[in-house]
Amino acid sequence: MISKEIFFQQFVEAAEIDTEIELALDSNFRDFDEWSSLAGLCVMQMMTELTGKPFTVSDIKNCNTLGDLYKYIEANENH
Amino acid sequence: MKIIDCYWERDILGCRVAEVIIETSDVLSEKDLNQIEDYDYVVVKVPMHQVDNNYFLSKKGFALVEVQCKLSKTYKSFDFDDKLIKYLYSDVSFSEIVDRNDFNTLLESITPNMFSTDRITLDPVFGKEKGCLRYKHWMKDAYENDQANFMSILYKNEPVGFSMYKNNDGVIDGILGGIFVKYQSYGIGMLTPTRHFLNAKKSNTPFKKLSTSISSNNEPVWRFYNYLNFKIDQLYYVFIKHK
Repeated sequence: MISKEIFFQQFVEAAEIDTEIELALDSNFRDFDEWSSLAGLCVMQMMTELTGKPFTVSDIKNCNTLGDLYKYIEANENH
Repeated sequence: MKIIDCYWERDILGCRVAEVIIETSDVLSEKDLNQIEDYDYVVVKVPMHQVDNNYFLSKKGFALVEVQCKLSKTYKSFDFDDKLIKYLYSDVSFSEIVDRNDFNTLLESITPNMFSTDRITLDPVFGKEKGCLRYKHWMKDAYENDQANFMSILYKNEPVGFSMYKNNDGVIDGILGGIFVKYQSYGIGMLTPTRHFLNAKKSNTPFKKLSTSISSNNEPVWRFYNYLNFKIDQLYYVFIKHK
């Protein structure tokens, strides 16, 4: 299971979020200034890579916070 | 300089509309403005490198509302190995819309918030209802007069968007396209600039080049085009004025 810190790092890289922002599990990722449809696609692809399982539009619709994404990884991570 | 009386806009927008296309050597003058003074809504498109015309229009009360960017990309230069393209590829499919019933279904899927960044929708004088009606009218006209082709974009077998286009001897003119409101902001907007490339790959029908136009106001979409390294062919400064 990847650590929270590594997950945040991967999220920041995928979505090209400003690294000065303080991230937390209850951060709503759609509120970040840099959030866009392209960022969303990059995150979906990142989540698919991290879990080895397709992470799709339906899945991201059900997630609002970084915590939601992290819980998804916990539940589906490729061992 | 070309002045076009946009008579087809009258019923939709409820006013007389003129479009002025400035050519490379044109220098605008008062005499030119006199030719359009009877119109209620005037749109002037100035190609880049004509700053004097931009200043002239600003002094005459025209507002700069957007920059129209003409972009293109060759089929050969498209990176099908890009990780985001590979991510989408297996879940997407396309079908040509030919049948009248299918076309009517498409028209019903076009809703007022779908195209939220065109100059009519953003203009407080017109708004999103007129913006939507105008696009639907344009599409209907193109379909009935056989002036364009239509394609449905499917993601996991569900229609999520469409394309209105022409294929001129291997050069695809991506006239209009988009993702339906229900599916916007979830990452599949990437299907807007990639639709013809992915369709051609799947059906083994490569083409020469895709050309299209986007507005500077459509930030989500130009992020995608920028990511995909589309070439900028021309920029037009679009000014408008209401009487």
